[in-house]
Amino acid sequence: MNIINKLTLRHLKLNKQRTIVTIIGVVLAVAMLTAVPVFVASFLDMMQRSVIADTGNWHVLYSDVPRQNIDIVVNDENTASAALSQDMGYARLDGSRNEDKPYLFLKSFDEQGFATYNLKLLEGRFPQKSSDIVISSSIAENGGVVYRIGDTIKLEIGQRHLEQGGNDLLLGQDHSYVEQSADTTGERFIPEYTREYTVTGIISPPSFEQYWAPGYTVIPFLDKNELAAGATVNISTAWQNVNKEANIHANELAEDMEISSDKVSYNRALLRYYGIIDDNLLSTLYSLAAFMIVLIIIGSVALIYNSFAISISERSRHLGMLASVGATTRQKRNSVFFEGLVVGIIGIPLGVFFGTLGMGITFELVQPLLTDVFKADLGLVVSSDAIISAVLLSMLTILISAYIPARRASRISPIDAIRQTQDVKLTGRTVKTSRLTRLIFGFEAELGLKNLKRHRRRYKVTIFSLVISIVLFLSVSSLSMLAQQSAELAAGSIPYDVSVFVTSSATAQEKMDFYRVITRMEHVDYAVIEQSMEAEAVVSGDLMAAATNPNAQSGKQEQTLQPFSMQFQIKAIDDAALNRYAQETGMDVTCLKDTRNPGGILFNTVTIRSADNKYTRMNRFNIEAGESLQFIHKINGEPGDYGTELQIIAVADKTPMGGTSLMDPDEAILFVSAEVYAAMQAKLPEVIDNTNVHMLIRSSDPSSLVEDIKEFQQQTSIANLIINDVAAANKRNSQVNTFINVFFYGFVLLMAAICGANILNTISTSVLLRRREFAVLKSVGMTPAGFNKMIRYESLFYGLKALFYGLPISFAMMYYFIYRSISNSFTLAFVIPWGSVIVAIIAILAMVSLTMLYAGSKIKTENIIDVLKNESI
Amino acid sequence: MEILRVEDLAKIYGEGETAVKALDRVSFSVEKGEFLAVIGPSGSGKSTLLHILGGVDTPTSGKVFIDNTDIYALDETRLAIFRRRQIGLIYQFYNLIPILNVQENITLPLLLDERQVDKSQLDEIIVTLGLTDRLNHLPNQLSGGQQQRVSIGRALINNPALMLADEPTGNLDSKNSAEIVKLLKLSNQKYNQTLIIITHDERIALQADRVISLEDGRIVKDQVMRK
Repeated sequence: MNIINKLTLRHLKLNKQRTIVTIIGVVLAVAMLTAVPVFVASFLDMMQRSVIADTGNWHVLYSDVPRQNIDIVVNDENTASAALSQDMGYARLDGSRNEDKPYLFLKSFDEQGFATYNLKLLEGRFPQKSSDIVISSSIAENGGVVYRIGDTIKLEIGQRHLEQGGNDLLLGQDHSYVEQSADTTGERFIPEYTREYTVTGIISPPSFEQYWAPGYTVIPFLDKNELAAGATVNISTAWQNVNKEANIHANELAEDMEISSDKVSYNRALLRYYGIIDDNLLSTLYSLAAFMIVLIIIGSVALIYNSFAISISERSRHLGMLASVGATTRQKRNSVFFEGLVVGIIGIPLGVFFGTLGMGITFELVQPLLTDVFKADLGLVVSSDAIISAVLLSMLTILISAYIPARRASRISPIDAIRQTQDVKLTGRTVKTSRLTRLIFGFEAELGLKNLKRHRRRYKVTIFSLVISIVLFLSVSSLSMLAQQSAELAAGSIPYDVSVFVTSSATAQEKMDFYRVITRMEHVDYAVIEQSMEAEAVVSGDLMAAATNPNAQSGKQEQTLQPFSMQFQIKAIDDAALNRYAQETGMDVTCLKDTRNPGGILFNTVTIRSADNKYTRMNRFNIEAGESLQFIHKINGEPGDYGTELQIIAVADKTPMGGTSLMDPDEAILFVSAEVYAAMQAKLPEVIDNTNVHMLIRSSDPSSLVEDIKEFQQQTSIANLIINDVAAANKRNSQVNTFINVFFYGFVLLMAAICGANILNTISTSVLLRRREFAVLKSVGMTPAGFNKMIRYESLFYGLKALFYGLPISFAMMYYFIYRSISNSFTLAFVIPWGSVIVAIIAILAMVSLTMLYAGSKIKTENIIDVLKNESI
Repeated sequence: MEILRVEDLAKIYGEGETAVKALDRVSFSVEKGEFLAVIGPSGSGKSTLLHILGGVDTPTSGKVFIDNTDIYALDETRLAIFRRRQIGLIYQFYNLIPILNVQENITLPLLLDERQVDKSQLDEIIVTLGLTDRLNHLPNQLSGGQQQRVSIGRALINNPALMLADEPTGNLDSKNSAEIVKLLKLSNQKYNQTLIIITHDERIALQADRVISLEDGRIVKDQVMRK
C-alpha cells in the first residue's frame, strides 16, 4: 500500500466517529437501493403466484389441437409443463335446487391438468383412468344433489343448443342458463352419448367455474392413449423461460400444429406481471421504483459528499505537506477515491445484507395484512439482477459523491496547507448577519448564526438534507390522507356492513319471511328491509338545484323553469326501520302510514360527477316539506291512469341506513311505509311480483353473521343469494392502505435516517473543528449558559432555515403534484395535513438540537487550556 | 493597593510516581498598576501560573485572590463572568474568533456581558492600537502584529483588574515585538493597568517594574527593578 493510502486509512481510523457515521449512511443507502429492486421482484413474484393460484399455472392455451400434433407442444424445449384437457359437454343434473344451474359440466384433464389448475381435493383421490371422475363440492352445497365417493353415475352427455335468428348456437360455460321467456324459446339440451363414471373424489369448486355458469364442474380423466383418431384437445402450456421470445415462439408452434391464431389464447392476467404484455400497473411500479432510487441517490450523495468534503478539509494539511514533498495531483485525487473504496468495501456488502434482511422482516410483518387480499404469500425473492443493480447503483452513488472532493484534493498546494485554506477565503460578507439578530436574540445567537454561515457549502448541503426529509415526509402524509379521503368519497362511505339479496325466484312473501328471520339473528345491530319500484314524476324546474337540473345547462331562465320528467325509486322499508326513520326526521309515523293522504320522506342528497370527472356532494331539490308530486307508472313503456299523488312529508339528508350519498344521480329516492307502497301497487292493473327486495344490515360481527345466514339458507328453499360483506371489503381496502403506508413511511424513515446521519456528521464536525474558538470564548468569559445558548441558537437556525424552505416546497408538492392529480377525479378541499406538519417541525428541531447537544457536550467539559495548547500550530 | 494575592499555589499533573509539579507552593502579591514580568526556562511553570491567574486553569491547591475575590471559590458561571469583567488575556497565538471582525473581536467581552460599548473608550483604544482602518476586517485579513494588537484591545476594553500576557511577542518579528511591548507598557501607564507578562525575552523583562523568576515551579528570585 502506498504512503498516501496508508495516511488516508490512518486518518479514517483517527476520525472514528465520522467514519462510522459515513459507513452507516452508506449502509442505509445501499440497503434502500437493495430494498427497492428486491421489493419489486418479490411483489411481482407474489402477484404471479397469486394469479397462478387463481387462473392456474399456464401461459398459453392452444385449443382444438389435433391428436397427432400434441407432441409438438409437449416436446418443445420451452415447454415446462403441458396439461391436456377436453370440454366434453353437459349432462343434466336431476334434482338441482338451483334453477340457474341445471347441468353438470364435463371437463376432462390428464394428470398434469390437476396440477396446472390447482384443483383442491377435499376427499377421495384424483381420477386415474377414464372411468374415474371427481366432482365439485358445490353440487351438494349449492345444487342440493349429493353423490358419495364410490357412487357410480350414469351421464347422458350432450350440448346446449339455442335457436337465434334461425341459427343453432352451441352454448358453453360462459353462457348462463337461458330460460324460456317472451323473447326467446330458451335453450335446448340434446344428449349425444352415455357414459358411466365412478366418483373417486370431491374437489372444491374450481376457479374457472364462474358463479353464473350453468353447469357444476365434474372432471373425468383424460387418457391421451385412448383419444380417437380425429379427436382434438386443449393444451395449457407453462413456459420454461417467460419472455417476449417465448411469445413469438408460441405463435410459431401454433402454425406447426395447424391451428389458427384465434385458437391461441394467453393468460394475460399472469403475463402482465412478467412485463410481456404492456401494462399500466407494471409501468407505474417501475417508474415509482425509479423515482425512489433517484431520491435515495440524491439523499445519500448529499451525505457521502459532505463527509468526504469534511475529510478533505481536515486532511488538507497532510495533503499539502505531501504535495510539498512531491505528491502528484493524481496521487492526491486518488486518495479521496481510495477513501470511497474503503467506505464502499465495508458499506456495500453490509447494505445489501441489511436491505435484504430488512425486506424479509418487513414482509413477515405485513404478511398478516395481505392474507385476505392476495392468494399468495409475499415471499422474499433475492434475484441476482436486483443485487447487481443495487451494487452498481451504490458504486455510482459513492463515485458521484467523491468526484468533487477528489478534484478539490488534487488542487491542494503546499501553500494552501500552510495557510489553512478555509479561513483565508473567509470574508466579512460571508459571515455578515443582520443587526436585528443581535437585538432580538442576543450576541450568542448572532455568533451561532455566523457559525452557520462560515462554511456556506456545508451549510447548504445540511439544509438540503433536512429539506429533503421534510418534503418527503409531508408529501407521503398528504398522499396517504388524500388517497383515503377520495376512496371514501368514491365509495360514498357505504353505511352498512352486509347486504343480502335473494336472486333465485321466490315469492315476495317467501323473501320477506327469509329476511325477517335474519333480522332477529344474533349479530344484527340494525337492519332495513327495502322493497322498491320505479316511478316517474313531473318536476317543475324551480324545484331543482341548478347542477341537477338538466334544463339549466342552456343558461336561459325560461328553459330552466320548464318542468321535466324525473325517475324515482319508491322504497318501502319495514316497520321497525320506518319508526326509527320517522323519529330521526322528526315525523309522526302515523302520517306516513295514512293511505288516504299518502306521503313519504324524500332523500335529498346526491353526489354529482361533473363533466370534468369531479365528484361533488349537494342537495338535489330545492323542495320544502308539504309539496306534492304526481307519480305515474309506465306499463310496457306506456303511461296509464294508475298514478298516485304523494306528499313530501319530510326532507332527509340521510337514508334510513344513514347513507349520505348515492352514485346514481339520475334517480331520486322517496321512502314510504309498506302500507302506502301496497296501496300504490294495488292501483296497478297487474301486481308485479316484486323481485326487488333486499336487506341492509349493520353488524358488530359481519363475518359470523354471514356464516349464520349461509347456514340458515341451507334449511330453506332459497337457493341463490348474494351476500355482500362490505365490512370485509372495507377491511381489505384498509389493509392494502396499511400495506402501502408501511412501505411509504418506511422509505421516508430511512431517508430521514440518511439525512440525520448527514446532519450528525456535519454539525458535530463543525463543532469539533471549533474547539479552539470555544476555548477562547470561554477564556474571555463566556458562561456555560452562554455557551448552551449559542449552541441552541445555532441548531435552531439550522432547523428554522430548513423549515423555511422545506415547508413551502412541501406545500407546493402537496398542491401541485398530489392534490392536483387526485382532484382530477374528486372534488376534495385542499387540506394540509397539519398533524404531520407539526410532527415534521418537532422532529426537525429535535434532530438538529440533539445533534448539537451531543457535539456540544463533548466540548463543554474540556479544559480550556488543554484545547488551547493542543490546537496551537 | 493589593490587586492580586497568590497563596501557596500548587499544580500537579499526573499521579503517584509520574506526578509532575508544575507549580510548587508559589506565593506572592501584586499591587495595582504594577508591571510584572515572569521569566524562566521552558517547563518552569510560568504559563501554568499565568493560566491559573487568568481563571482558565484550576490549581491543585492554594488560593488566588483578585481584587479580594477568591476566584476558585466561584462556580463556573460566576468565574466566567469574573473573567470577562476583571481579566484581560493575551495569547502568543492571538486566539481571535475568525468569524468576528476586528471591532467585534475587541468588544467581545462586552458583547458577552450584554453591555453597551463606550464609544469614546473604544475609539481611543483603536486609535492607540493603530487599527482605525481595519475595523471591519476579519482576523485572517490581518498580519500577525495587527492580530496581536486586536487581542490587546480585547484585553483592554473592559478596564480589567488584571491584564495577563503569555509570550505576546513570541510569534512576531523584532519590529512588531517592540511595538507590542510599547503598547502594553503604554496601557500600563496610561490606564494604570496591572500587567503581568510572561516572556523569556530579557529585553522585555528589563522594562518591567518587577521580575519574578521561576524554576521547576518555584519562585527563585523576586526582583523589584523600579518603583
